[in-house]
Amino acid sequence: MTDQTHLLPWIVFVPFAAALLALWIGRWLGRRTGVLMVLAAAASFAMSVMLFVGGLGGEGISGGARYFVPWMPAMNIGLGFRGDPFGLFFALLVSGIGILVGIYSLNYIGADLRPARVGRYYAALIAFMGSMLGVALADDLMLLFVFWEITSVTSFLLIGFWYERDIARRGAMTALQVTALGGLVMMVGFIVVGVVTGTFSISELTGDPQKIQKLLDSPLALTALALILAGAFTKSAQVPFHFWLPGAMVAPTPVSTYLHAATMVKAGIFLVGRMLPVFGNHPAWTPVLVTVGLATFVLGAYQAVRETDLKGILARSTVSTLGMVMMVYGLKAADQDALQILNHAAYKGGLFLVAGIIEHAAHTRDIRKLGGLRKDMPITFWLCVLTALSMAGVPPFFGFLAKESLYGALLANAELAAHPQARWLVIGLCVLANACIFAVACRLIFGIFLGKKPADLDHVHEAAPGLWAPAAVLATLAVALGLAYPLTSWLANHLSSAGDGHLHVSLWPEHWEPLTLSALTMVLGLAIYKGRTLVAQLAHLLDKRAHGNGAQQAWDGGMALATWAGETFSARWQSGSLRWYLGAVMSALVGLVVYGLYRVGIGLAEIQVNLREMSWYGLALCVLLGMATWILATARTRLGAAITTTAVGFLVSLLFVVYRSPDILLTQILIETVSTIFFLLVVYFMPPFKREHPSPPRKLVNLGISAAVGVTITVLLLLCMSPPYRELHNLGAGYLSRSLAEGGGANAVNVIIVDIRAMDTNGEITVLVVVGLCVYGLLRARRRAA
Amino acid sequence: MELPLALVIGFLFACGTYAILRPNLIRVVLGFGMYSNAVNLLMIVCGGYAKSTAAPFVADAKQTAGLMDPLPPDIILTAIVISFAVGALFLIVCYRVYLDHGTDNPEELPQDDPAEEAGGIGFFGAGGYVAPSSGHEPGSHASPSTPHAMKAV
Repeated sequence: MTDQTHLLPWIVFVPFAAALLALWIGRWLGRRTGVLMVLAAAASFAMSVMLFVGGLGGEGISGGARYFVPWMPAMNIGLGFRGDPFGLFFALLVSGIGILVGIYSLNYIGADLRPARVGRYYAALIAFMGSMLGVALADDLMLLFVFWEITSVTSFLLIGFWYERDIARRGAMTALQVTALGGLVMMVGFIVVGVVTGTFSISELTGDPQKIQKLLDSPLALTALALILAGAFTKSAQVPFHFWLPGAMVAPTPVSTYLHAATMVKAGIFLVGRMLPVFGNHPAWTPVLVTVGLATFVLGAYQAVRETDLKGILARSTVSTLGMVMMVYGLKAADQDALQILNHAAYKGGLFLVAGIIEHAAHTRDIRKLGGLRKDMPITFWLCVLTALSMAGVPPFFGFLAKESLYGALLANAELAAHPQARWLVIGLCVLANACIFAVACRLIFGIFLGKKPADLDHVHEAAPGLWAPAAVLATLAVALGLAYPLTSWLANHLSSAGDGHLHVSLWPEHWEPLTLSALTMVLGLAIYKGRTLVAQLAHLLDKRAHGNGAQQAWDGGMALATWAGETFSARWQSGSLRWYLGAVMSALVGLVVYGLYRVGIGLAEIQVNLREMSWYGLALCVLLGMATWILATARTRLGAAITTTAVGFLVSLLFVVYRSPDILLTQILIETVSTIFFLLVVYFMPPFKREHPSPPRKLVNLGISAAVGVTITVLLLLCMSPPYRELHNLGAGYLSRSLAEGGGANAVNVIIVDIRAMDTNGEITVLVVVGLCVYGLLRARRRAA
Repeated sequence: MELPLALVIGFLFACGTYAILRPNLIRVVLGFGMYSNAVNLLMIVCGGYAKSTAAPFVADAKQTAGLMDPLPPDIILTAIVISFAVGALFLIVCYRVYLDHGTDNPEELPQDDPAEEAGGIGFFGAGGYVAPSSGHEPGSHASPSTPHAMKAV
């Protein structure tokens, strides 16, 4: 086999390129943009098949092709892709169903929309496909996170496709909040893993038992596990985050099929599958995953029985199945995963497409308003029967094999065998949940197609081949993989994350126990379906108060609380008051300096004052400057302020004489004179100072901040000038020696300004010009307005 | 020389801070003037002082000992000019504020209108509530442009 590793990144990037293209040419192509999606999906599918086949002949199942380009080498993050069988299985699933959904969309997304909007729809859908393929094939945890969040964002765009509807916007928002927040939490978990083990590469991690042991021994292991599982649970809608998935059903049906049944919600499961070799031996792994998975399995199935919205039923049963796979991972029965996921994708994808056809034809999704459509929609009816029977787990369908295998695995499971009291509880609840799913399947067939037809459904007729053909492919899969069970066994073993699976499924059961459980499931399921009125009454009693929506309400409440807290905080913090801002800035200055001195352990005791080097006129100037400052600060008239501010400026310039700096003396005198004239000019047009009567606490705060700033600066300056910190080296010595030789000037300050720092001075002049223009503009604008 | 100067610089900072916290824009400008004077002094103090030092005029490139460090005055020179420019701009902005709002008290200035911020794109743009009405005169900016949601329906 030739090396096909170079195909790996193309599987991911071809869809992204197609998405950009769809965004660009979608406005002209309109509905036909779907062809792009079909082509991109087909290309990715073909490449995935080539890689998979290549992997079979080559180094074997466990390794897989790797492709690596450094991205952020300093942080050990790279654009790493890996084509192991489990990743390729997901890629095949995503691209394969992508082809079907593309064909279905071509016939589904209406001609009544603007072409540009349809183009945007396809762009988001294709970009979603690309990011999902990225999740499947990414070897680097950070890369996986990036694709993960892109799926959240594209999912948000697609759920909110009917953005005129309030409910669509709300559903999209909730989905984004839950999944994107979960993703962020997950990223923190990845970082913990990366920091502890020193690598972000999944294959490096799973291939090195020492690194795994290091991670598990670390006190951070539980934190990392909890954070990563939070990401997986939110994405796969596990309890208690199960509420967002039914809300997302406002999306167009192709989107629901693709994102919320076949692929995206399985990303969480996929991640858990990836993490099983890493965290599998952590003591919290099995209890947490089995509890959450089982709770989701049972709760989802129960809610599916109660639901009346067609897509809601499918969504809740999807949640249920995801919980089941989660539980399987918890029990470390990883060889089950490919079988169960493939089974679910086939029947649930088919059922979603059927639901879309029915909604399209009957203009309702309420199962109570449907019925008797068998004669009007014969093809859809049979497709629904085939997929629903597979869902119910009736022989000889694929679903039967999967269920049988699940029961077999539960009975033989070592984790469960170690806890005999939990064992029968788990198995019993699984039978109950599967029975509920069975009842749901019966309800779908009988509720939609059999029984009495409501009067307002006379207009219903069979859908176009473009709509039922993709569903037919999935239905065929559900039947064929049931009948051709040796092929199913082979696929399940070669696509599983376990790698060396020895799973053997057959239509002719070898043991009687799983068969008994299957039979029990069917009997119980029929009973639930037959006694659904009684079940409904019981359920009504059960959740009379909870309305079955507690998690959604809690989430909305939390979001409202966060919004309120944010608004209140920013209203206080960004109050718009100049005094508050300046006060905060100056207090922060004091705080930071004091904290810094405290941290490095510098105290007041280290101040050493040199009193010998002092001139009497310098001292006199300081006293005068202090007095002028006091008068300026307390000036009651504008003229008084103008005179004292000039006095302060001139006294400062005289202090420059003390420091032997004639250049700045001249500059200061010049600038101070111009400033005074300017100040007097402007202040003449301003109102006189008013007497202020600040409240005592306000005045006290102002005085406190001012005193703190003054003391801080004084202390800081004295510390700087004390011997331990004093820089004795004359920084400008080099300039002094260079000024005459290189600059040709005796005055070193002048040479620096116009020669050494000429560009700087140039910039300074530019500032003056810009300010001049601004002043002119500000003054002139008024005249024009008037 | 450090002690008296450090004290007076601290005092300038304290008075400047008190001035900028007062509810009068002119006083805020004056406060910043005090700050810039204080900072300039601070820099020159950091350059160090001895009675015997001379101004940095170089007669012989080989004998530079005992001359004042030319770097602080050099930086202060730039700072003086820049703070003059900033102060002038500041003063004119205060004047504009007074012309436009009739007050020199920053606390009496109008706040941002929250209704104006909340309106516009978020609510109407997405919801498509505002129907394009024919009653508006052309050029009236009070009528929001047709949200793109409307065209899409």
